[in-house]
Amino acid sequence: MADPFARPLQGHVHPSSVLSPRKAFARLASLVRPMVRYEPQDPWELDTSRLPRLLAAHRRKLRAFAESWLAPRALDIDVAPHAPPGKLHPASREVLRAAGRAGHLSDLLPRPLGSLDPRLLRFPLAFPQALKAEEFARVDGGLMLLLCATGLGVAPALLAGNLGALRRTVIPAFRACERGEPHLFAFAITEPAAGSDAEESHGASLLRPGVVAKACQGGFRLTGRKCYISGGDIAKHVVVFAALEGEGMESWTAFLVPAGAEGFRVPRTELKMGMRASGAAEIELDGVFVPERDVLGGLRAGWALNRAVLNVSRIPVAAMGVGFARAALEEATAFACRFRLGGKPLVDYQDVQLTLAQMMAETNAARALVWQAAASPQARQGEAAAAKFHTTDTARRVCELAMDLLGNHAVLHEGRVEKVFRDARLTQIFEGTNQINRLAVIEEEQERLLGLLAGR
Amino acid sequence: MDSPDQDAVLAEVDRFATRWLEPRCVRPELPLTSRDLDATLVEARTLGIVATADPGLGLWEDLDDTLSRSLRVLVRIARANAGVALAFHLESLARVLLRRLGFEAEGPGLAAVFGRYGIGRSALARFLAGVQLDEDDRALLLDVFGASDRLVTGHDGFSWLLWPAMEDRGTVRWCLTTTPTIRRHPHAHGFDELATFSVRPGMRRMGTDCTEETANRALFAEALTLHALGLVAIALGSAQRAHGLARSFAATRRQGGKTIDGHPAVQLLLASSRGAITSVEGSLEALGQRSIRGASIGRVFSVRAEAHPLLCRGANDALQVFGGMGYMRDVGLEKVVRDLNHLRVLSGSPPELALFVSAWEMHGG
Ligand SMILES: Cc1cc2nc3c(=O)[nH]c(=O)nc-3n(C[C@H](O)[C@H](O)[C@H](O)COP(=O)(O)OP(=O)(O)OC[C@H]3O[C@@H](n4cnc5c(N)ncnc54)[C@H](O)[C@@H]3O)c2cc1C
Repeated sequence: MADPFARPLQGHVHPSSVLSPRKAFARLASLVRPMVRYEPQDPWELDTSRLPRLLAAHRRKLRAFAESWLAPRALDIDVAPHAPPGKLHPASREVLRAAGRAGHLSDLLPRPLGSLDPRLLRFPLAFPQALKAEEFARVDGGLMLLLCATGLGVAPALLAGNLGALRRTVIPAFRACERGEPHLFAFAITEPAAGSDAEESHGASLLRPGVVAKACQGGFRLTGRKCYISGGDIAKHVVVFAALEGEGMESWTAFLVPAGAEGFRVPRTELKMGMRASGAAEIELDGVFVPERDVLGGLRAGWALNRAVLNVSRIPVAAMGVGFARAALEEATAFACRFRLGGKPLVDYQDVQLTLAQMMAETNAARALVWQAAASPQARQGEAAAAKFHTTDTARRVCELAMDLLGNHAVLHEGRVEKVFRDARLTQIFEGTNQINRLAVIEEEQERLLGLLAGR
Repeated sequence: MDSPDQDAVLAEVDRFATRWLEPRCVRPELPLTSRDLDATLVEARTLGIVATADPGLGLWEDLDDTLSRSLRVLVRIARANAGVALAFHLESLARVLLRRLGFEAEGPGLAAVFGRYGIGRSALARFLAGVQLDEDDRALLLDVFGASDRLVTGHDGFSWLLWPAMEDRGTVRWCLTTTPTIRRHPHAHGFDELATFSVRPGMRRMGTDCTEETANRALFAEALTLHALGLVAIALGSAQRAHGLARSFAATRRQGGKTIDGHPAVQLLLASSRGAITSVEGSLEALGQRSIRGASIGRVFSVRAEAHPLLCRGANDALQVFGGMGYMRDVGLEKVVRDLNHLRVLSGSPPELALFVSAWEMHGG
């Protein structure tokens, strides 16, 4: 095969030309030269090199895991027949076990309680989670969700600071995961009549909650229905948010419910457009008993916990958007270099170069937003919500650019881009639709805006 | 065609869509089986909606008349099921082209008027405008429209394939193949009821079937124009379906203390979906006022380049109105989004069509 470096890309001078910045910069004064770099560098390595050393090493580990475990199984799982609730595709089970052993299911607590490198506690918890979401989403949305949704289920127990629940349930579950026996959690706020209303305060203030907790001897009995709960069919524990009997949403309380409890049933999982490795479960609660000790954060602390969890979790969801945009970009780049048209590679065409540049810029801008939000010591609602809607909208746009670039080949499953689109589309909907996330930005700004209104 | 005749045809199509097709498509997560699709095609041929060997008032027949009837038929069928509309369109197009060429063939056919990858970018515009081609253009067109595999999404129950083949000399020749080699690609993005397959036409031609070069080229332009119009019409019908579903849902779903169509966030989504549809309806209606001889391929491609991204955006916004339900296969919105994405990149993606349009304008096409 001819040496690809023997000629420049069409429309460009060869890097060895004196007019190429690559060559020309050598003439700059040695003091100035380090200030303007022009060297080919792998974009992933470049981004990684900008992270603090520990996070960089973590990112490397996550990518290696994703490539060796998720990537080879992603396409097969995506097209497998819909599994009944509670049943996992054998390949998904393998991935779960391996992820557990590698510590990816127990990384919300540091060693020895969980698997997180204690030195990473120097960074906000959302940062390693965001790195994980991007790396996993880049290779497969469904497996990413399967592995990440459990963190969402653990988060209320952590934020509630309920040491009993951590000691009795979360830490043993983490140990089991690390032994390769996955013990997953799920997070259940959504109800058939409360999707956005479970995500934003104004709607919640007008809502009659559907899942109700009735006090009884030693605890509570939960009755009602939750829907679209990620991993809700395979989780061993589900954090169910319920109102106290006769009260409204201000009484919302988080209950740690074992999936095996009497009256707990998963009648179905949804047939989804994408992210098919993860089940979205409907959960029926018929007088499910929860002992008092498994109330997380105290009675009526549910709304606060819910909103706090969303502040943290929307940052990894934003990172999923980056992962999908990156997947689309990488597939499109590979295609543009592989596919020949009219005797030359597609990448030689100027319009293709323009598209790739656009995709690169959009993906990088999205990642910058996520890393900025993730680095913030406190998870701020406005920042997290803005990152969430912006990067996930970007992801769809970048997927569309990739599909346009692949042309009719974009429709093929083996080309992956069509799947990336299907997976990415969910991120504009869950964890609050992107419309609700926009309103969350304004909610946080409310007092400043009221001040402006008052002329202050 | 007289307006009363046209109305009668459209009423018949509407009846077919309402009584035959829609009841078979009530569960979007269960695509029409190949057998259902065969039966639907048989019914449509019998009713004269799809063009057959016997001339009639089927799709794309009566090309001397305005194009509006065929466009309306496709929009209506696509509103019920985009895949069925695409199957009707491809089969009818093949039949009509076959007739124009004076070829003969039994059974349903398929016209692969598109290339290996898109439509040959701006080189195609120069070719159709009769501009002297340079080496690059010729290489590109030969590559795209040569004898190599073509990626087709359609009904795979066809007996013959009609295709324009580019030749070394930079001329085009219509070919008919009765034994093409097919390789199926499972799990394509959209059109669950159809197959996506690579078809290798081979170089087999019916000796006397090859016609004279200028006529070939003109028919090539017509075929591309009709195909592009068909795809836009199908996309429009699908988007109308998504919009209708979103409107009804928004009027009943309550969140935030009222039905969601009372929230500006949802109104904006619905307006975006409506706006996309209105814009494409207007363009298509204007294009439909002409016969194929009066239709400019540049104008049609220009409309298509804009229409698909618009309709994709509109359908995504319609899906967004449904929140989580929109993501579920049994609701039907996600299928519309996939079908529209699929249509957008078939036979020339928007950027490629834009390159064509620019070159077409430059060369006074
Ligand atoms: C695959 C999947 C996985 C999920 N996983 C989980 C999970 O693990 N746990 C969990 O609890 N939930 C989960 N969800 C639920 C998800 O968070 C909700 O779907 C989402 O919040 C939207 O709610 P909804 O579907 O009821 O849509 P709706 O709230 O009905 O929204 C419909 C439309 O109305 C708009 N809207 C609603 N209210 C307002 C308002 N007040 N102002 C302006 N516009 C408004 C929305 O933006 C949207 O466009 C999941 C959903 C899906 C699809």
